Amino acid sequence: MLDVQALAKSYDENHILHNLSFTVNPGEVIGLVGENGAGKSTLLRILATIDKPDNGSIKLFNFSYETKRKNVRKSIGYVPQDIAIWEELSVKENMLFFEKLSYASKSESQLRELCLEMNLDKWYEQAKTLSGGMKRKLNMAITLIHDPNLLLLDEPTVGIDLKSKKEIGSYLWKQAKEHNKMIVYTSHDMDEIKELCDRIICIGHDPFYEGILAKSGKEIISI
Amino acid sequence: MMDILFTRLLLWKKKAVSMLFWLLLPVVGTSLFITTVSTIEEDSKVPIGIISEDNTELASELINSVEASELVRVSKYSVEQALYELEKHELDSVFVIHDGFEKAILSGKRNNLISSYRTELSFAYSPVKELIVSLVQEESGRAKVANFILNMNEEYKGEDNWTWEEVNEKSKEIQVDENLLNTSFSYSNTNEPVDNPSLLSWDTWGIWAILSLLSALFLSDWIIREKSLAVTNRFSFIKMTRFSYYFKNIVCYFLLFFLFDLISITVFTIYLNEAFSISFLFVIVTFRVMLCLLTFSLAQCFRKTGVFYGFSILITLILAVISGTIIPILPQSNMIELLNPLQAFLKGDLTILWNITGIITITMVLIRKETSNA
Repeated sequence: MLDVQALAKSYDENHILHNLSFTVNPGEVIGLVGENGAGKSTLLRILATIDKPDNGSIKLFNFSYETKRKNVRKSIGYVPQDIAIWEELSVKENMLFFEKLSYASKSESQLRELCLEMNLDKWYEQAKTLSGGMKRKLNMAITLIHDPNLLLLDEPTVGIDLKSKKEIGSYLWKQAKEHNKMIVYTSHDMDEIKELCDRIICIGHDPFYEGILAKSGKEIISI
Repeated sequence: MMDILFTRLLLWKKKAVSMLFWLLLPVVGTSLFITTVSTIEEDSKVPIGIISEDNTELASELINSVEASELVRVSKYSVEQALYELEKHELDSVFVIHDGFEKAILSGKRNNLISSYRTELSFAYSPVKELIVSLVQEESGRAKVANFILNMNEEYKGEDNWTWEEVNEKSKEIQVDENLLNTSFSYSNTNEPVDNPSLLSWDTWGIWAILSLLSALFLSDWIIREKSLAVTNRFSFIKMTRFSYYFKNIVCYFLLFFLFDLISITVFTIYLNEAFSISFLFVIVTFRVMLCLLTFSLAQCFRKTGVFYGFSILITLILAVISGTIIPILPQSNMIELLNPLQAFLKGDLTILWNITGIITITMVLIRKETSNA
């Protein structure tokens, strides 16, 4: 379980996150919404251990982010908003590259299987020639190599076609419900958020988003 | 280590051509430079023709002495052919050693022994003529001394019955032993005289060191490129620390560079007749370690590859000049020597001081990276 308590983060005088507390249980999909600059990516980066909060505590399976950072990182899969792949390498080479640096050891067939689960079938194609949707899938597949328990995704479906969006969405849903993963992700697509998420965290007390999401019937945490 | 080597090989494979260019630059660049300079040096010699009508030892010796000069290139033709080449200005001047040359020298005659031909374009005629005249005078003087000694021996009824040849040989021995006509030169900081120094003496390993510095700098651009890529976000979630990741990568680069250093040693030893010893191998190893450490640390200070390339060229030029590799400059101050990371290698010493500096710098850089990632 991911347990976030009284989290605060500010840049200079600008309070981005203030006294934020929530939990994520295994098998849950949490959506983060809010306008640009509300602090969604900042929160994800803190949860991914890339940034540090000013205050508050975070625990993942009782491992404190403060003291057990290395153990925590083993359980985290972070999909950054920018596509973090080697453009000049093929899909296969990208997967092999990150497998060698990963905590988990996987065979080439297992890596290929992982890609195929996401309908990423261009195994030998150079990453730079892939479509936007395929690149996003590769971006996510690399993150899943070490089989993380907590998946943090920063706008994983931005700028891609509806079919790829649906494929990624259903894959994430499957990961949560069938493999008991905890998923926290940000998106500006409210339909996607309403369809996929068990709970929605609305950052910034924005009545616009709260209004849209109110009819979804999902639990909304407004902070 | 093998995992890092595997990942690095994947990336190297994708830019194999540019990698090979920079890796081969020191060995190919140095070899081409040295070969070109030698060719130009050979072509810049004054072409002259010498025809000997006197088939004697003394005439042959004279021709050999002229050929040994680094200023002229001697061609042997018939008189007609030589004069034809002279008319075409293929030869600067032509010298004909007349029949009876040896006989005349031995009898102390010095006039009308050699005829010379030149054109209005024989710019080097005077120095070449002086060269030949000085050699004739040398032999003529030796003969005169021999005749004088033999006459004295006869006049004062000496007990030793020297032959003319014995006196002549003794004269040559004294000339060699006393070294009356030659001055030996030696390089700065060495006592070893340079045998037969060429007109322009280029330091093969010095040029190699400069090109190695440039290639090491340009091949360090991966650090700047990777820093600006989104993939670095993933390095927080890899199984090793950032310190370990970069350190192992530096080791991979060192091994790759060293492989090409061994190729350089082989090529220079075989084709450029450079001396090689095991101790020199250690000199190269310490030099290469220093290059890897310093270029990595330097690349860490830059965000844009273009600026880094410009800086790399500038620093290489500065070091080439203050090292005296391109333009020999004397004398160098201790301060400049101390500040020049190439100096130890150029002097044939182990690079120790700059390696200590490199180790301290790189440790600080990597610890800083590790701390920011923690």
